[in-house]
Amino acid sequence: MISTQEFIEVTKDQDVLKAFGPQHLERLAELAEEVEFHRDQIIFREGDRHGLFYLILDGGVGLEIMTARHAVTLQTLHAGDAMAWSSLLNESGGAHFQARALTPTRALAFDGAKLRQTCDADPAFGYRMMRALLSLVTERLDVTRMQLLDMYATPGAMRA
Amino acid sequence: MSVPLHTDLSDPMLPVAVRIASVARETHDTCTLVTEPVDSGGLPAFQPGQFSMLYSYGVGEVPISVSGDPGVPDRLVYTIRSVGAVSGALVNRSPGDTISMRGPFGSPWPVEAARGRDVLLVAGGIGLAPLRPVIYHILRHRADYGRFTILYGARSPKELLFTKELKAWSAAPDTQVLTTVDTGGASWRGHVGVVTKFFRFVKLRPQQTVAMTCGPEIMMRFVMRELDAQKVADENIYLSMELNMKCAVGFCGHCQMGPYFLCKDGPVFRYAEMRRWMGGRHEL
Repeated sequence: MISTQEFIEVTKDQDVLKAFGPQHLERLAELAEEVEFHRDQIIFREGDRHGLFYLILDGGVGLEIMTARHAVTLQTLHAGDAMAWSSLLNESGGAHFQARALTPTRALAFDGAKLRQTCDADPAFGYRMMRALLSLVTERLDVTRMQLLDMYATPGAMRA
Repeated sequence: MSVPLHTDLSDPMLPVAVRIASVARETHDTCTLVTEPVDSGGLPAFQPGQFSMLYSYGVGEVPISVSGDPGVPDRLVYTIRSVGAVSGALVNRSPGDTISMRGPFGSPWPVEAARGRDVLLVAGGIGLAPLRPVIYHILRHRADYGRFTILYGARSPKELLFTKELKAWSAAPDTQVLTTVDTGGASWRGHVGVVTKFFRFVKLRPQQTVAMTCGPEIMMRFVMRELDAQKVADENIYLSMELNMKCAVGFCGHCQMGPYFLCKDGPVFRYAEMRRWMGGRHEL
């Protein structure tokens, strides 16, 4: 756990927490633990039931999926990105992807079950948390949709 | 700032023969051709952003942006992706072969008007090629410009253009180069995701930034959203609309978009001029 003051200091540039009031930041600080990962460290593997939700403070993380031969990076995450947000929603499921630190990375880790309990116990905090989460998920969905578009392909009408 | 219009051409429909001096393979389907005059007549000057009509004998003609250094005027350089019969024929040319060329045509990027300001370039896929002359120009006159940022996205690592140059450009003073791909391979250690996500890492000074973007229209629309969110004025945003160009002089009408002929009035437009016509909103 880190102090509220430290928490506010390390998260001051995090857009996702901009709308959180002091009392809500205090609640988050009570649940947060600062963690560091070295380059190439596997943070969690596909299927792991680590139960942690992460907010990246600096560095870079690749979300990977294992093919038969190697890991393929689906997306890279950076400061301000959240990771493993399914741990907030799913009590028993494992991680959907593998996460690997691409550079030395610093993050805040939250126990997903405790965060969920706090959300349940304090609906105002829970509502703020879910709005922040929805914003992150929406951004991630938009990015995924654009990647799926294959927008760099040349339309048939322009083939000459 | 204003974008000067067309190149003054005495006979824009008359092709001239040029010889291919060298061919550099950029990716599995993209080559850069360096062309030189067949005779001693020289080649016409170009401004960054302009394009030529390149003709492969017996196959056809396509518009291709000049991708070379405007500071090296005795060569015209074109980066071509093979996407059809004509571009495929051009990509398969060899040094010493002859092709024909008309142009260069069209409105340029506002490199002179942007002097003294920060410049942000956002490129997608082959869209980096029309912006490369801007990069050469700015790096050649680095002290005349403020912060210089290049954001570049491509489908995959093997489809990134000018990879050695990207690395060299990032080492230039006060120059930020960020590259991403939609799909990373096993050995790719860089960014994976869409190019617009980079806006989070760029400290824009909106009042003094001139933005130029070239790539798929979908990408450019999302770039416009980000620039709008960052409060960059429409008048300071430029984009290259290289769609459906056939004659290059506004005769045939193939490239009409709203009131504009992209070949004659563009390809470089201010976003303020083009925003109404992007995204399929072509009704008058």
